[in-house]
Amino acid sequence: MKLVSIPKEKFEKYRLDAIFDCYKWDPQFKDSNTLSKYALVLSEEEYKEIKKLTEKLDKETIMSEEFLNQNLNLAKPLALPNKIYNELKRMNNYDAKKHIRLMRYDFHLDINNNWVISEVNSDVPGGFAEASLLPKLAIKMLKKDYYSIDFGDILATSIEKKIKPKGKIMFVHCTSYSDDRQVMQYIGDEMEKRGFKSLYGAADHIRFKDKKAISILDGYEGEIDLIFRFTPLEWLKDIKPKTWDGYFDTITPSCNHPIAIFAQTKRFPLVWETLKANGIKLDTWEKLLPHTILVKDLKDKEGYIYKPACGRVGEKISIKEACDDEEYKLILKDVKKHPNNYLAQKQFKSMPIISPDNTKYHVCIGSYTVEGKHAGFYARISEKPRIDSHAEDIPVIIERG
Amino acid sequence: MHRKEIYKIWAPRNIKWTDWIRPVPFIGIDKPKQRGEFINYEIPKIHYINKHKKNTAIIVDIVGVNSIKEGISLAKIGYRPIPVFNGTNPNINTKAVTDNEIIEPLLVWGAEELKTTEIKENANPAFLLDLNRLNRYKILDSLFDNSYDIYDQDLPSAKFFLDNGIDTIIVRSEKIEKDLNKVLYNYEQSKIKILFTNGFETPKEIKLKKVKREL
Repeated sequence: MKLVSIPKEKFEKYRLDAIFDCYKWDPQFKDSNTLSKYALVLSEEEYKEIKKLTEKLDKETIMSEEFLNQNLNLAKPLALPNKIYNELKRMNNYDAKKHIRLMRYDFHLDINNNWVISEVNSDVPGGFAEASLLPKLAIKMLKKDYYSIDFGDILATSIEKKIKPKGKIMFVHCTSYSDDRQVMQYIGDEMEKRGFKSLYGAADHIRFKDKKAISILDGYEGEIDLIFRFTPLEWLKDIKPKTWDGYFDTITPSCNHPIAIFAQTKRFPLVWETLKANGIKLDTWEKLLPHTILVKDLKDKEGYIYKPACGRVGEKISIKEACDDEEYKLILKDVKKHPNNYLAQKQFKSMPIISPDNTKYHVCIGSYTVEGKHAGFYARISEKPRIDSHAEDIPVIIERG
Repeated sequence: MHRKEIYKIWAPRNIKWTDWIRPVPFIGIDKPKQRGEFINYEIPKIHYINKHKKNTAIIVDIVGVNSIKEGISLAKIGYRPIPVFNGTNPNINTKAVTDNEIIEPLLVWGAEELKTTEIKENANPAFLLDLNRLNRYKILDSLFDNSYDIYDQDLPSAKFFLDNGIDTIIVRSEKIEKDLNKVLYNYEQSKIKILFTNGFETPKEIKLKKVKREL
């Protein structure tokens, strides 16, 4: 794994093309530029290793969630919000073959040169265009014999197989956030190229009749053929009036279906012993995820960090060297006040890689699966060991041979 | 001019502050539109400041169309206009709570104006916001809600302002909106002076409503 520079004289064009041709509408976050001046190069060996681990993880995750769905009483340690837990029984009609299962596992390299995962983005992973178009743009700029995995093509092909030709797809997202829209717009445009109709709406633009999803979006009222959801389930539950329960038992194909909630919570490891006792193997998860326990069980154990159970994009994780003093104090205060909202996880030491201009960067490689198969990479780098909203997006390309 | 050229005029590379220009309203510029509104492209007169001040940045928080026009006026006295518009557009034929698309022809017009306006490399910024971002009243559930808030991640940090010699920010608006108050409060806590003007009166220092720091 190494960093190669986008040639300096081409970076301005690269940035402009990334914005306008690769849906990178958010190139700045506060004082941080979020588009890296490098590309991340994997050897074929590294690529194959991550691919293999990702597919193994995915198999374990899918078996676990389907088991928990049939045995909801065993999912109690996940402490899902009541509003969601109360709807889970609706999912007993879940048929994996009808839906599209999309996940992204976040890989890091530790100082012992071992792969570690920090989480699975089970519910609503993002970074689609960065995982599809940006690597191609980087390869064009670098003019070397690299290749990349086209995540968008794999996802779009999977969707195409599940719904009728020219069907209507509702891309459900928080319509006030342009950074959500950029993710939806990319895959929406891909589907339009294949003859489908892409609708952009919020979670409450879908109502359900006879378990079928119906659009109420102005100008596009009527049945839809696929729900592509980018609004997280834990936000969905706060929508009033309650029009969202139908997401749990709809027969309209969904990506992702709410079954994703079981692995989305960082409390997922708390049901592993139960799952194993019921014959589900979790060897890959156990090998790659650092030891995770309840905050109350931490006692005097050392070397652990706190992570929010429903955390996203690295926020509220208590990695001391990555937080400013005030933020660190606020997290500890919050953990003390709401211990059940957090988990304690053994901290792994991330191994930085050195850029061509001698800067150390920590790397997080998001590795996607679609329908159980590896589907590409979305990576971010940061000078700090926590990969959060200040991190830079970096295309992942693969070196032949 | 195409969208990339227009964006490049507003956001020339390696010029301080232009990294904060949000690309969102530039993305759809090349798409065909059917709009009938008459837009008055007259450049307004600025009453609250008459020259570039080395220690002062400006935030213009008025209706987007007027915000861009005022940005061009401020460019004429030496400020670097930085549009920070984040609103998206609905599907064609879907009604939305606010009209973000109307900004696009103004950005095209503004680019033409900027081509003939000399702005120094070290010019201070005039951030242009759209007050229409807060039009979030949904008369019908079927409408597309493309209202949005301004967050602290959309603007430079207090440290960045101070490191670049800016210790005063003039806010030109009707009032300080709640979302902007949160951003400005952090600046005030870092000893940046916040002045307010309604566009006609001399800017006066204000005290912002207290905001609890969130994680």
